[in-house]
Amino acid sequence: MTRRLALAALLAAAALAAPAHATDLTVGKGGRYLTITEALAAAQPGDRVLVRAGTYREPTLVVRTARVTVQGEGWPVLDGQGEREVLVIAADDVTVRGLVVTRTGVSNLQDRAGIRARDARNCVIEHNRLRDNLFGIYLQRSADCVVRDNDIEAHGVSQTSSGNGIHLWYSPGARVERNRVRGHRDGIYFEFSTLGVTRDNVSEKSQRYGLHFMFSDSCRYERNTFRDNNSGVAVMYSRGVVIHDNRFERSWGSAAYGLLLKDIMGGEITDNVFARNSTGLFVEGSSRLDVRGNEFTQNGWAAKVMADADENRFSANRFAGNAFDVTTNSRSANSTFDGNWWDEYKGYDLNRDGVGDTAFHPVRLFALVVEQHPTALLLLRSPLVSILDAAERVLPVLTPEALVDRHPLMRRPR
Amino acid sequence: MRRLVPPRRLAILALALFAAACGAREPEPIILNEDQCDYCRMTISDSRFGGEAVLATGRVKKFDSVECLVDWARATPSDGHGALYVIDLQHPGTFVPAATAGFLKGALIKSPMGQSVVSLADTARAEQQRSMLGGRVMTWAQLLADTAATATP
Repeated sequence: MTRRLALAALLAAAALAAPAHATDLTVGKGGRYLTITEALAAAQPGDRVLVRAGTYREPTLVVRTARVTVQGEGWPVLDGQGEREVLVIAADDVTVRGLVVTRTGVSNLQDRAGIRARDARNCVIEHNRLRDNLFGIYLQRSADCVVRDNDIEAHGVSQTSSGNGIHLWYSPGARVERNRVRGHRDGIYFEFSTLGVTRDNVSEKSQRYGLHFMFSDSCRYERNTFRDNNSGVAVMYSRGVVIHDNRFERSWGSAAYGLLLKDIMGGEITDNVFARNSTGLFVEGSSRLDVRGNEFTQNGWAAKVMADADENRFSANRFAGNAFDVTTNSRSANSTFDGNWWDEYKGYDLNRDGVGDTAFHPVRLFALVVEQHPTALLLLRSPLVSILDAAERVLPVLTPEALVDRHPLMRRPR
Repeated sequence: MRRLVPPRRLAILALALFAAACGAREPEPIILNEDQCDYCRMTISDSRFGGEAVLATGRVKKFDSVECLVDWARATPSDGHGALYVIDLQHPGTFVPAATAGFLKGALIKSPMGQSVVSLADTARAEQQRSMLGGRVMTWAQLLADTAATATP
């Protein structure tokens, strides 16, 4: 009896799940439709528009029917001819996959996108290739969308007017996964978009930031790689951010940071790698951050923590091969360092508990000098500087007294 | 020993040079993707937006958006403002004096700090662009007084 009931329930569920009249509308060679525009006009909720290989130059395509899937077969090219947006999703539960979207062209007054979701919930944009668009994928007031496995590249776009690879504006609950973005202004940009998850993306060679987010609370960023971005990554004006297991690599330049944190309240920065940046981690106006288990290697400055950043805790991080480990802009330090591993630590461990018996002062006197007089950097390898630094470490006079690791680790963790 | 230049003339020359140097309160071009906003620290990347404060000391503060310039101006005593400039949206990269510029707040175009504030040569130009861009026409003084126009809501 119960089994029969279950079976009936299963059948009912299956009937509900499968749309009654789902049809495939085929566009292109051998298909019923010559243009995508016609097929979209004919599509009923639940239908699939299958676009065959070929190049399509049509006015901006707008998907107005809910639950429609637009699927490319053999990588059809949708060409904006440098004049317009290419594809707009304006209905809920729409899926777009398998398309090559190209050439929106540049406009001074309009943020043109290759694929835009506008006031559309639950859209899925996956496995597309976006080439030479002002903006690649743009979510505008579109909640709970998924953007995954897209390959997005801008080249030949003029520097003065380049847009972002993946842009989210007032679009909460998004999942941005496994995309590759190259050459845009910002690779991935979250603006006023809360509760998002960004993972396993590679964002590189951005004209500005690999990842940028502003006013986007409670977002998670994990297992992404950001490298060779002109200014690195910037995370600003947000609360409750989790940044875990990412790589921040090779951001060089006077205004370049592996990760720039500005006005971030509460969050976790854990198990990331900061390698070969001018400044690995820059913290300003941010508080109650748990910075733990990160690796800082071969940066100019591993961490710059400004005096207006408070109650941040640095623990179990590894500092190796950096020109400067930590620096700040004031004698008063409101962030704590405890139980990190420093390759510069020269202390001993007589009781063999794995923790150094003397404290480590990670802020070199010379780092403070350079903070005030950047040109002094010329003297970085001078023996006089080494003597000054050594003297300051023994008897700290000018460096922040509070900025000290009282439990430096003897062995490099992990 | 013969002096090359009489000392009095030398003094006048020095004074003139000094005055000329002090008078140079011209805005400085923004280098895109290199210069940082002096208020929010963001790298400036869009030539359609932004502003500058050329201080009496000759120091130039650069801003990525009108919003940041407004916030900075509010946080700084007005005798320390120096000469304020904003970008003319219709001529990206070109500065106009903030005092005589026209602004559109809540325009359809997105500005770097997300508040949709754009600046134009004067209020007549702003009025003209309003049909296309939407928003409310404002002057610099009105913008300064409007506490809703801020970089950090």
